[in-house]
This record gives sequence, C-alpha cells and structure tokens, in this order.
Amino acid sequence: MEQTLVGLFWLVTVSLMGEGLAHFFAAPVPGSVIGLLMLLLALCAMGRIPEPIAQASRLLITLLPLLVVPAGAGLMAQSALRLNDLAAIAAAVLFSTCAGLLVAGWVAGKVPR
Amino acid sequence: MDAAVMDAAVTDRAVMDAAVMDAANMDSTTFITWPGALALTLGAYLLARAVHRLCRAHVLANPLLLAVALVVALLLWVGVPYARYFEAAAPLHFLLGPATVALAVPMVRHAAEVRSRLVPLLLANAAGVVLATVLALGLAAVLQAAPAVMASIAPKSVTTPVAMEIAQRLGGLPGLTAVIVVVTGIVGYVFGPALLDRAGVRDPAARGIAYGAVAHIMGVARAAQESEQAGAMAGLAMAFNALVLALLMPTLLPLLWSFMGVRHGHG
Repeated sequence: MEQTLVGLFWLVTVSLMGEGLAHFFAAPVPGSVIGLLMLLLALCAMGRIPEPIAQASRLLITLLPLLVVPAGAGLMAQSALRLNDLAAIAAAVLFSTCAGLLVAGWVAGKVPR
Repeated sequence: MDAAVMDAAVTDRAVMDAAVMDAANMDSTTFITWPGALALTLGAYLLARAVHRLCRAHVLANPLLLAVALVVALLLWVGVPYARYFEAAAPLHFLLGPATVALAVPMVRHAAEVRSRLVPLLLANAAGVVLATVLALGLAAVLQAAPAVMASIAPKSVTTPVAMEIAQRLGGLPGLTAVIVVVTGIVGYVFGPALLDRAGVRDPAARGIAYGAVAHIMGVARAAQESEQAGAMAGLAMAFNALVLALLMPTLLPLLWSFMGVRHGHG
C-alpha cells in the first residue's frame, strides 16, 4: 500500500512538473502529456520500472473510467441549441468518430508484425 | 495555489465558465461540495457497473454512459448547475493528469513489440484523425449546420483544452466544443469494441491505436480494459495527437476553414 502511495506521489509530481513546463513555455500542449514524456524518458534512462511507480500506474489506469465521469457529465452543459444543429452535430460526431476509429484500426491491423 | 496548478485550473475554468454561461439552470440555493460530488460520482459509477453486470455486459448498458447519465439526471433533478458539480469533482478530474503520466509504464513495457512498426502505426492513427475531422465537417456542412457550430465541431480530434482554444479562434463556441469532444470520447468508448470486432481487427496494438486516435482519454480507458498493450498503444496515439495536433491544428484548421468557406460560400 505504501509503495502505491509513493508511486502516486511521483506521478502527481511529474504531472505538475509537466503543467509547469507547459506554462513556462506557453506551449499549447497539455501538461500531463509533457509529464508523460518526462516519465517515459526517466524510465528509459533507469532501464527498469520502479515497483511503486508500477503499482500506482496500475491503480490509476484501472480507475480511468471513473476519472472521466466528471468530464463526461459535461454533456449537460450545452442546452441552447437549435434542433437542426443538434441533429447535424449528432450525425457528424457519430459517423465521423466511428469511421475514424474503423479506418485507424483497420490500417493499423494491416501493418505486418 | 502555484502557477502550474492555476493554469490547469484556468482551462478547466474555461469549461466551467462556458457551462455556466449556457446553463439555463442557475439555482444557487443548492450547494454541492467535494464530498458530495465524490459520493455522487463514485456511487453513480458503482451503480452503473452493477447494472452493466446485471444486463450481462450489453453494449448499451455501458458503465461510463450509465454513470454519466445518472450523474446528469441527479444534477438536473436537484438543480445543481454543471459548473458547480465540475468544480466540486475536481479531485477526481485532476487525477486524469497523473493517470496520463501513468501511461508511460505500459508504453515502456510494450515498447519492444512496436518499435519496428511504430511509424506505420502512427500513420494509421493519422489516417483516423484526418478522416474523422474531414467527415465531421463534411457531414455538418451537408446538414447545413450554422458556421459557429461547424467551427465548434472542427477540432474534435484534439484534447479538450486545445480543442476549445482552436474553436475560439475559428469563431466557434468553446463550451459546445467541450461537449462534442466528450461525446466523441463516449462514442468511441461505447461502440468502439463492437465496431472493431465486426471489422475483424483483433491485434491489441491496432485496437489501441484506433481507440486512442479518435476517443482520447476515454479511448485509452477502453483500450486499457482490453489489455495492457492496447492501453499502451492508445496512450501513444493520444499523446502523439495531443502533441502534433496541438502544434499543427491552429495553423492547419484555419486554412481548411477558409478552403471550405470558399467552397460552401460561407454557408
């Protein structure tokens, strides 16, 4: 348990460092992605994955569906939409997302291993 | 709060401000704090998972969709504006940052498996993003969506804060863009597995790329549920898109925009 907490501390710290860097360089990139790159480099440099980081990572990734719920509930934020626009948005989003997903998956599947 | 945390809060604040501006319901007699938001979100999620199991894992009995529906339903019923709930749920939402960083672990673990085919996989990712964007804009144009709505739809393939900023520059509604990005993620999360199964895409890495390309962090969540390798690849696709598109889209999209504006006569 304590190992997981230690790992959590590092993941949170790296995430904040990423946010700091993004802010400092006024980069349009999310700080957490910069943090991801930083951890990636650190792990490659270390040549191994420290157990606390591994445990904390497993915990957070398992919790991902829960963590996106607050953002997901943002669906309700837009209420002032004309009916025509709503239909256009729904159709555009539904078809484009499914098509994009299928094409990406199919092309990626065709890449020889 | 230090500047770094403030900046993260600023983008979230932008989402909230947009939500508050658009929300018809401004009942401020109902006050919700973080324990309440935590209980609501956790409770909704647990209930949703129970229902999912009861419905024997039916596609539409999707835990994420159900949890979101439950949260929204309760907020509407009690009369709490979304912005207030989102602010109160910040502890949970904030963990998405460290969770994104955490994706480095599966990436490192599965690095060897993809090193040889990294470029083609990223090209597949790019193909998905380009198609999704072009198709979304095309469909919206054909269905005669208002220009501001089209501007809001355009950056749906990038992660929320970046998408909102691009929408702003194109003359769209950032609040609407935030919702569109969320819906995109949910569509990928709910329908992705069945679509990929039907298309015969079985390779975990390919599935991961597909999820991450189009459904951002929700795609990663779904991919991680399938396998660690899929999660790693989804994280890779998401991070790649966040980096490349955040840098390219502000310049590319206005170009695409004026091109489409010329073609459709700014309709």
